[in-house]
Amino acid sequence: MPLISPEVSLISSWHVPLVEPATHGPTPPSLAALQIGLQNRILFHDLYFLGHTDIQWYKGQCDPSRSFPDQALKSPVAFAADLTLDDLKRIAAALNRLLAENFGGTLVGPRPRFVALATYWPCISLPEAEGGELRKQSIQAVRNSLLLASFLGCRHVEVVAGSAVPEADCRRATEKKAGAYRSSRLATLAESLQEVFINVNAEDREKEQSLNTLLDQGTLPYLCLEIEPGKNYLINSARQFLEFYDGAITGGRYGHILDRYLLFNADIAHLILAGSDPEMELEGLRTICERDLLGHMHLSDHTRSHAADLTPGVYHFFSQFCPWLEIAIESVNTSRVFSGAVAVELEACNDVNEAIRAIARTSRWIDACRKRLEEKKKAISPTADPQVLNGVLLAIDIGNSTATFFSRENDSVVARGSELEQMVGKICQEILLRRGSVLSFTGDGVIAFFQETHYAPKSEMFKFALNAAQEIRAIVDQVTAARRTQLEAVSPDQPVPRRITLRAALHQGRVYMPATRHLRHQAIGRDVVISTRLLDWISKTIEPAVPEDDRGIIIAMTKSFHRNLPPDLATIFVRWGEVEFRGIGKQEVWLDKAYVLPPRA
Amino acid sequence: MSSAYDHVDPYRAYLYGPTPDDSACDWLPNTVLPHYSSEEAGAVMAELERLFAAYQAGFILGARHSSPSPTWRDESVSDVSKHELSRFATRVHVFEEPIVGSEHTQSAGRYLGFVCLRPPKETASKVPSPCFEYVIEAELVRPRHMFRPRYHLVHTTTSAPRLGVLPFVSTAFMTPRTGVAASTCVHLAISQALHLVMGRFGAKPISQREFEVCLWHEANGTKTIEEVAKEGVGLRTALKVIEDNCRVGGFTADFSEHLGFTGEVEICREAHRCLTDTLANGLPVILMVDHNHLIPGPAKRPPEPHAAFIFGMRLLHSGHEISHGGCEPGELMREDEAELPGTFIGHDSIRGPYVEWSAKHILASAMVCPPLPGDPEDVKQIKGIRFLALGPHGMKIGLPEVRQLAVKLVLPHWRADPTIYEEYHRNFGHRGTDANPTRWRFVTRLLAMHEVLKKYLHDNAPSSRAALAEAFRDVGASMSSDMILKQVGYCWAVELYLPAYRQLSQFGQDPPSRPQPLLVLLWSIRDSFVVRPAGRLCRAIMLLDLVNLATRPDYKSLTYRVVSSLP
Repeated sequence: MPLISPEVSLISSWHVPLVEPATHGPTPPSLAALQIGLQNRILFHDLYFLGHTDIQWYKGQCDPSRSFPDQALKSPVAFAADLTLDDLKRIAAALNRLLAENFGGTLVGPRPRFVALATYWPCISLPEAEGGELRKQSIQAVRNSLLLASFLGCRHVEVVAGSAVPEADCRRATEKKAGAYRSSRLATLAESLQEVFINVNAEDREKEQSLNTLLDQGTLPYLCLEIEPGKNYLINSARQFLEFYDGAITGGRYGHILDRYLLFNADIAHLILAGSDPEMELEGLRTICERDLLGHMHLSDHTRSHAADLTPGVYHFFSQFCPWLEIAIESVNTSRVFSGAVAVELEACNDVNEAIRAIARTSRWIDACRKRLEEKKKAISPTADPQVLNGVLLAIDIGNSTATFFSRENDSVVARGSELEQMVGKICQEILLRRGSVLSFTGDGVIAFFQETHYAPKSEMFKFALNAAQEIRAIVDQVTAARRTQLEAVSPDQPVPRRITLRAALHQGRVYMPATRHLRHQAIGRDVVISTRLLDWISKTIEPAVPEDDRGIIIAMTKSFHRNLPPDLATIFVRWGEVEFRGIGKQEVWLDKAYVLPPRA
Repeated sequence: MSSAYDHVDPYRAYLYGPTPDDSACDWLPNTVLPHYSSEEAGAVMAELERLFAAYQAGFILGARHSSPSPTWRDESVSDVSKHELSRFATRVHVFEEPIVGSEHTQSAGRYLGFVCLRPPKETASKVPSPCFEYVIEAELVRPRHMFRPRYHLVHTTTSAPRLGVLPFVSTAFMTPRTGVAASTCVHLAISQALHLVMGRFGAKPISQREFEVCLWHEANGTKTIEEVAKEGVGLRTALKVIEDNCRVGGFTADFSEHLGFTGEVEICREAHRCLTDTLANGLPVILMVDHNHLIPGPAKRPPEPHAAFIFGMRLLHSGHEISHGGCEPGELMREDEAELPGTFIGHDSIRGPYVEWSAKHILASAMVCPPLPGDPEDVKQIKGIRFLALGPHGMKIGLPEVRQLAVKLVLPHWRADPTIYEEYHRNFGHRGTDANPTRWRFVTRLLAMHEVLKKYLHDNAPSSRAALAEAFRDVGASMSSDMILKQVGYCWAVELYLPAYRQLSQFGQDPPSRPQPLLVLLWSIRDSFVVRPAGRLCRAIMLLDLVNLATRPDYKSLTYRVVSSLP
C-alpha cells in the first residue's frame, strides 16, 4: 500500500493588517487573511484565533444586542474569554459561511476547511502574584477556543506555554533561581490546563455542559502545546514537553483528561533552533511520536535565530527538513491523534504569493519524502487509515434540467450552460456551508460527503446533511421561476417546461477515499453504491407515482441515517419498507411523509 | 510608460502598500501611519527624523505593515503591562528623498532600510523622552558620505533576510527596551554586535531581553532578574554568556597600568591601534566609556559606565582628532601611525545610528569610565581602556595579546639571526637592516586556515601543508594533516614589514602589487595561554622566508619555526 501524505494548511496569521479593515472605509471588517487565502484556492487553513485587528469582525458576528467590556475590545485574550456559547456558535457559523462563499477553487473536491485553531494566550502560565486575572482570562480563552474548534469541525487547538521569565517590571519577581522559577511556571501551566475543564463560574454552566458532551463522545479537540525556542520560553524543547506532560497527567484532579487531550505541536523551525543540536530534538520528537503524542506540526524556516518565519528552503535545505517531514508522514499513517496536516506558518509575511510558494514547496517536499520512505521500504505498518472515512453520503439528482435549460434549439449553449453552472455552484455552496464536500458532479446532480470527524457533537452531521438537501430546494425553485419568466417573455406561445425537481438520497456509511494517486479524493465503496441506488430507486419508483405538479424535492434515506436523526427531524420521515438494491441486497428505506403513497396492497 | 515604474532597484518593491494580494498598491502619504493616533504619529515621525539625522538628507516612507520583531516579541512576552498591545511590530521601509528632476529617482531615492516600531500605546508621552520610545530596531544602510574611501564599516548582508526582507548591506540599530527602571547598554550593544557577525562567524543573535535571561541563568541563583537587568555586566561575564549561548566568541582587551602600560598616552596609543586593527578585521567592538563624558549633558553629572557600540572608523586623522602619537617635526610619519582613524563610528541608543566620535574624545571617555558592578575586583579601580570584540567561537587569545607577543618574539629572533632580515632588505635593493625595530610595521589579521594557506603558502604544496599542520599538531595527537588544519579554524596572523619596501619606487624598481611580509607569526585562536614563570606563553608559529617562497622558484617548501610552544 502506498503511504499517505499529510495535507498542507496555512495559518491565517500570515496576514496581519495594521488597522482594522472597517476603519479604512465603509466596507464591513473582514478576515482578510482567510478571504485572500480562499480566493487564491488555498483549501486548508489553521485559523489564527485571534489578532487585534480581528476583534471587530468577531464582535460583528455576535448578537447585535451583545455588549462587550471596553477591555475586551482592545485585548484579544479578554475578548476571547468574554465570548458566550451563543457567540461561539454564531462565530463558527460565520466562519463556515466565509469558507463556502470565498473559496475560489473548484467546488467539486475536498471542501475548504479549518484544520486547527492557532491561539496565543501566553499568560496562561502566569503565577498569581504576577497576573492572576490574566491567567483566568487565558483559561477561559483556551476553553472557548476548544469550543469554537469543535463548532468548526476541527480537532486540534494549538496553545502556547508562555514565558519562563518573571514579568519585565520585576518588582514582584523575587526568585533568584531561574530553574525554580521555571518549575513554578510549569506547575501553574499544568494547573491552568486542568482548569480549562473545570467550571469556574456559574455563567459557564452551559459551556461546561458542552465540554462534557464532547468529552463523553470523545470528540473534544486536542490541546497541542507548542514549543518556542530559547531560554525565555517555558516549553523550549521536545524533552521539556515530555517532562511537563508526564508531570501534568499524573497530578491534579483532571490529569486524566490531559492524558487524553494534551498533545505536542511540533514547530519544526523552533525545534531546529531549540537546542545546540537539532539531532537531539529530532530524537525527542521521535519519542513523542512513539508515545502517540504528536498532534500537529508547523513548518517554516528561520535564519539561525528566532526572528521571522520564512518560506521553507530559504535558509535550510530539503535534506535538513526531510527527517522531520518523514515523521509527519509516519504519523499520518500510524497515529490516531495526529491532525493529518502540516501547517505552513508565515506570521505577518503579508504576501499571499509567498504563502502560496511555501505551500507548494512544502507539498512537493512531503511528496519527495514519501517517495524516499517508500523506496527505503521502511517498515511503517499503518495502524490508522485516514483513507477510510465514516460519514454521510448525500446523492442529489436534478430532474427536468435538460427540458428547462436546453429544450429550445435556438437557445445559447453558453447562456444556458452558465445558468446551470451557477445553479449547481449554489448547490455546492449550500453543501460546503454545512461542512460537506462535493465529491463529484454527475452532469445534473452531485454526490456529497459529510465526514464524521468534522462534526462535534456527531449528531450535527445528520442535521447538517439533511438541512443541505432541504435548502437546495429553495435554490432550484428560484432558478426555475426565473427561467420560466424568461421563457414566457421571449416566446409566450410555446409551452413552459415543467418545474425542476430534486431527488435526494441520504445514507450513513464508510467510504474509501484515496489520498494519493489519480482518484485522489473520490469516494469508493459499497456505501457509495447504496446512496446512488437509493437515488435511482426514488427516480424509478417514487417520482413516477407523484403527480408532476406536486413534485418538489423527494428525500429518501436509509435506516443507518434515519436512526441518527434527532426525534423532531426523524418524525418527518416514515418507514417505506425494505428495498432490494442490485448487488447490495435489502435495505430499509425511509421517505418524506409528503411523498409516501398509500400502503401497498 | 512612466520611468517611476521602470527601475532596476529591487527594493522599490518596498515603496508601496503592501496589500496582501498585491493587486492594489497604494502609495500612502509620507506621514500616514494609519494605526497610530495623530498625536502618536507625530511622535513617531519625530523619532524617525532623529533616527535619520546622520544621513544629512531627507527621507520618505515606503511600505508600512505589521511584521514580526524578535526584540519586540521578547520584550512583550514577559511584560504583563504590554499584553494588550499587538505582538507584531510595525515595519516601515524608508527611502531617500528623490532628487528633483532626476528621471531615475522620480518616486524615491535609494533604499535606506527599514525600521521596526513598537505598536501604538494610545497616548504619546507628554514629555518627549530622550530615548527612542517607538523605534525598537532598524536595519539601515550607511549614510551616503560613509561610502567615501576613508570610511571602513563592519557590516552584514544577513541581518535583513532573517526578517524576510531582501538582503542589503546594513548594520542593525536597536534601542533599549522600555518598561524597566534600567536596561544596560552592554546588553543592547551585544545584541547589535551579534547581528553583525551572524553571517561571518555563524553567531546566533539574541535580543537584549534574552541576553538578560542568559545572564540570570549565569548568575546561578545569586540574583533576581531585576538585579541582573539593572546592574549591568562586566565584559568578561558578557563574553562568557555569548560563548555559551550564541555560538560565537571574542576577546576582551584591557589597556591599563597594571598590565604594563605606562601612562595615558601609551594606553591610548595602543588601544587606538588595537581598536583599529580589530575593526579592520571586521570585528565589532563594545568599548566601555563614561556616558556623561561621551555625550555631555547641560549639567555636569557623575561618571556613568556605558557600552559604546563601535563598528566603523574613518581612517587617517587630522591632528586635532588624536591626542597621542604623531611624530617629531620634520620626521616622516610612519604608515601605521598615519592610517590610525580620526573618528570612530557607532550606534548610540540616544543620538541614533551612525554617530561619529573623534578618536580623542571617545578614548578620553573610555579612560574615565567608572567600573561596572560586574567587573572583577582586580580591574575595578585601575584606570585604563577596556573593550570587548566579537569573533569566532572558541577564541581564547585576543588581538592585543598577539600584537604584544609578536613584538616580544621577533626582537630576540632578529638579534639571534639577522640573516633573513638582511635578505629581505636585499630583495628590495637595500643593504643592511633597519636597526630600529620600533619603526617596523606589525599588521594583525584574523584569517581562516584556508586563507592562511592561500595567502602565505603560495605553492600550496602538500609538503608545506604538512609542515604547517605539523607545527599545529598537539603532542600525542594522531590526526591527518588536513584534519589538524581544519580543526584550527581561525588564526591570528601578525605580519612583519620592514620600512624598506615602502621606498621601492624611490629606487626605480617595479614594486610588487602586494609586498610580502618578512615573516608571519601564526596563532590558533583556540590555543590558550600557558602561565609559566617566565610569563604567559602560547604556541606561536613563525613562517619565514615568505618573500623567497613567493618569488624564487627554487624555494619549494615552507620554512617555519615554533617559536613558543605549549607544554
